[in-house]
Amino acid sequence: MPRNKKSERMLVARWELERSFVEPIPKFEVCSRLLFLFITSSDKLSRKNVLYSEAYLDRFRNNEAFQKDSLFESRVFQLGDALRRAKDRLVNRESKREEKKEIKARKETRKSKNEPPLAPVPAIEPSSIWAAAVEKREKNNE
Amino acid sequence: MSEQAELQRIGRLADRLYSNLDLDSRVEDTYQLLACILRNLEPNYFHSPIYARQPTSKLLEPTAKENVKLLYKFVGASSLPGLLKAHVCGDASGFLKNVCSASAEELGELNSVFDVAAFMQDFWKAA
Repeated sequence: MPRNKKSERMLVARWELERSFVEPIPKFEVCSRLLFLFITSSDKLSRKNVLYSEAYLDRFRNNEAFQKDSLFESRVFQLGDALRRAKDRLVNRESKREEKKEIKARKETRKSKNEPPLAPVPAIEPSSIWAAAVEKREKNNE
Repeated sequence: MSEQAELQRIGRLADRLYSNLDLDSRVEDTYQLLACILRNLEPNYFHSPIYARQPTSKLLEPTAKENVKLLYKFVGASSLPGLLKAHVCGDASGFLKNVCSASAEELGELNSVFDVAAFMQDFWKAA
């Protein structure tokens, strides 16, 4: 169960965003606000959601009815800016994750170097002598 | 290495590890004797600190079950002195029972070769 129900929140926001765009006559104010809210709903927007908001921003930008609105330019700029920041955060997060992985791998290699040396392997496997002796005894008993 | 030399090696190891000199190190590693016999190691291998050597649990993996059974049969029917046989076979049966979870039939079969419990009873009676 997620701690702050982020996935649930994102799902609801996505659903609302989708619904606002597929209405018979999409409303400029509703679509732009919902898209902005979706982009800024979380500091940790996943790669999937970034791609998703990019697609919706394109849809918003290419809508001819919206282009006629006086606030269109400023809204596109605002949304683009928010998306750019979300992308930057994503890239930062991913690079940090990579760094952490590298550090972990380095630590593991160091650990393996510190492991105790293997025990010496006997030149002649003693069990072969025991097996031969046991077999010999069994034959003698028969 | 001949059978006799191998018996001598096992006897020497059992004698040394079960003498008072190595009593302290024996408490740390229950199956130290078995590890020495199976991996052809000298007891002083266990005198180095734990971080500089392999622990007995690594030296004696449960895959050693067949070898331990073979050792039991080999030592149990050998001409080694009874007490040394009891040390080796006692450790072997303990390992089979506790680590390899050997069945009662398997242990019974080994007991028919050499019965450690019966020997120890007689030993203490005689003492």
